Amino acid sequence: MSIYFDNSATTRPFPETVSAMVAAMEEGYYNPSALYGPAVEASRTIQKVREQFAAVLRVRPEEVIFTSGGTESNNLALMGFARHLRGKAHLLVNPSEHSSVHEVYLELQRRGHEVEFLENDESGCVTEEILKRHMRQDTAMVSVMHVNNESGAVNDIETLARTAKTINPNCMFHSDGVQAFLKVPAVDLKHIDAYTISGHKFHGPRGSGVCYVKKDSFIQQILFGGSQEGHMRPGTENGPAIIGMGAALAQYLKHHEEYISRILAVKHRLYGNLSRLGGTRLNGPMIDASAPQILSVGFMGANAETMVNALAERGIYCGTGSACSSRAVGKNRTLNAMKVPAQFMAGTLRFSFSYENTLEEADIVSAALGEILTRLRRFRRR
Amino acid sequence: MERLLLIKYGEIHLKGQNRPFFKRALKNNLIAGVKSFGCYVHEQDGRIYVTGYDPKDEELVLRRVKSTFGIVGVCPALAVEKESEAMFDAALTMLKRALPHDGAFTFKVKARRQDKAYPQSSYEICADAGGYILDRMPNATVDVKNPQYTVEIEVRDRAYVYSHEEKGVGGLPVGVSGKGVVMLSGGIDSPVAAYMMAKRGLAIEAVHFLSPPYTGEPAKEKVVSLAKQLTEYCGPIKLHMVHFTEIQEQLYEKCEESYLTVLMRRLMCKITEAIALKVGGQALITGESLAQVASQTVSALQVTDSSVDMTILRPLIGMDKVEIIALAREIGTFDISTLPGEDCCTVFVPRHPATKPNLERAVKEEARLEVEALIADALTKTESILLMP
Repeated sequence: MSIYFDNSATTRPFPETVSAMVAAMEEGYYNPSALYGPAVEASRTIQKVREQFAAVLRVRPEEVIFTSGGTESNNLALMGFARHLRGKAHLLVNPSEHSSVHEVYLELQRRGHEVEFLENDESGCVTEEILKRHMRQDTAMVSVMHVNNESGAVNDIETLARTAKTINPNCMFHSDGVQAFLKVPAVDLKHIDAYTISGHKFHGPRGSGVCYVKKDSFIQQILFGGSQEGHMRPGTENGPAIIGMGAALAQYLKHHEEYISRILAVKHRLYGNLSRLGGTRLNGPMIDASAPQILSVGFMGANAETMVNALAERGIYCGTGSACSSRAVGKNRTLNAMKVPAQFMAGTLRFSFSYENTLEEADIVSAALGEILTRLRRFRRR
Repeated sequence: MERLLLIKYGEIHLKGQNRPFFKRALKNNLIAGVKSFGCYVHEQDGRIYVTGYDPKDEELVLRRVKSTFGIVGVCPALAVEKESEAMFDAALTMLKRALPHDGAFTFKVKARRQDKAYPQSSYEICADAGGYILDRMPNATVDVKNPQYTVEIEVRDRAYVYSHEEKGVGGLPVGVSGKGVVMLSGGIDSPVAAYMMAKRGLAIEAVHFLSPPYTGEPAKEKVVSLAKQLTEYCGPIKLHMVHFTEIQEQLYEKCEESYLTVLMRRLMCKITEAIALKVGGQALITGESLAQVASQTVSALQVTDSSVDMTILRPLIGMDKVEIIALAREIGTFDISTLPGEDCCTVFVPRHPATKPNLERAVKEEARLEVEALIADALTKTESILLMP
């Protein structure tokens, strides 16, 4: 039996997700752009999923664009807006963004724009005060993620977006909602031009995602081809993935309260156990202020990779930093931005939970970590 | 008319009574290498021929043949009857195939007549074939001194016609020198060392040291890919992965810190030697280069050497890092070696390793461990896998 505490990397699809996808592939395989009955039906099914998302986000269905996931959604929002930028535009970005946002800004910098990095406070958030300090009347784009994938820090994007628009009403405000969607209360997207979602983070399939694009924003397509998704995302719709993601959304909403309270209980239990081990540090906000599914803990005198390996030997899977970057060489942006002390940074693990986790699992993991730490701390580099 | 590869082998010609043994080994290695393409390999009068492949696969077969040690050159050729018209027509075909465009060009025909019963002399063949081509290609001019293209005709059991030769990797057929066991880390040097010794005819087995949980799955995956890449040149490689954590932890706790690296090297050599004895290896191979790091100084190497009886081959000993990297890139191991994935945890690297370790001292430090028992234990925890080209 294994214990999976890496649900921010990806989640196991719901059985409902899988069966909906199988049906979509076996029966509803028609091209939604075709003119005959079953094809029109396929198009209607996709439209229904669109309406589902629109209802949860409280936006118009035509503002919901289906994509292949978080990375594509972020690229669509940012590059789709940057198409309009001329000369040297001023762009602001949170320093602890996911690489699918961070790297886009670095590319825009290479193309001659002025990219300025915001700061994080000690809990890993961008505060209104920080934004005000950097925001200019000519700032063209601002990106601040809703929930940080490593620390679980929750940014008040509603306030940040309003602040940005007060200073420059024409700026584009984008927020990566991949780790936030369904995990923290939905926000009013009135001042937010683009908000992104990934299906496999809430038990949907890989290769599914949403980019909310506000109707009067200046975001345009970055791929060229057919007229699917209102020209915003050409290419035959990935029916099975979209339908699978819709099924996951429905399933999650049906048990929302129960799932979140279970996740929170596991998180509290694990954190309580771990804090008794000694030499630990909670990274990010206070335990109740962070997103419920993410727990980032630094362990003094141990190396994160070694701990992950030692846990994996016992069938326990968790992350060091975020899974997307943990094999990449270099420093961790999130932990650096919130100034995690060096002795904890090298030994930081990210635990992330789903409805499938139990309190018993939390006990097993903390007991295992206790043993592992005792051993590893004996062999600290002199 | 048949498409085939005509293979020229080098140093083997210099061998005396052993020549048949070397040739047989080369032929067998080639057969194993191109087996999956359904090819035939045969040897006749100083040439080896690879035939019977689908012409669409020629590039792939060629690549495989070129990377077989013992071969100096490979020519994609046409085989035809020993008859002027057929030979000249084949020469025309090969020349046309070599031309990148329809513009003017210079060429010459070279002929070699191994079958002395053939009525025309080499000179006559060249002259007639040249005339045949000139008649049919208005843009062609003959230039015997400095031609852009050379078409060669070899008259043997049949006539073989080719227009260019690809360089082979040279060396001696893998296996003719016996078997060596390489200590394969995940780094840049050791795969190059294995390549160089395989080039001199050693069959290769590899030993890798794992230190879980200090090293993880990616490090293991990486060393498997490295060994797999080496099979392209070395043929099948058996990779032995030894669990080394216990030894490292004991070294750390019981021995002098500045001696950790050299003691670790000694133990690694002892384990590798034990594996070599079991699998019929006659030498150890390492990627050490003089003075590259503390464990590779002359005194450190001496301390390592004295841990085993078997010869330790160090083909990179006199090479600079840039030279090693250039070769690693050439054989395709560099990009694998530079993937993330630590092969030896930094926890166990001393801050100030002894650059002039003393043998007596090292032996004394080592005596704090139950070496025999630790080695025996490590050997029982060894996983072996066989990698095929």
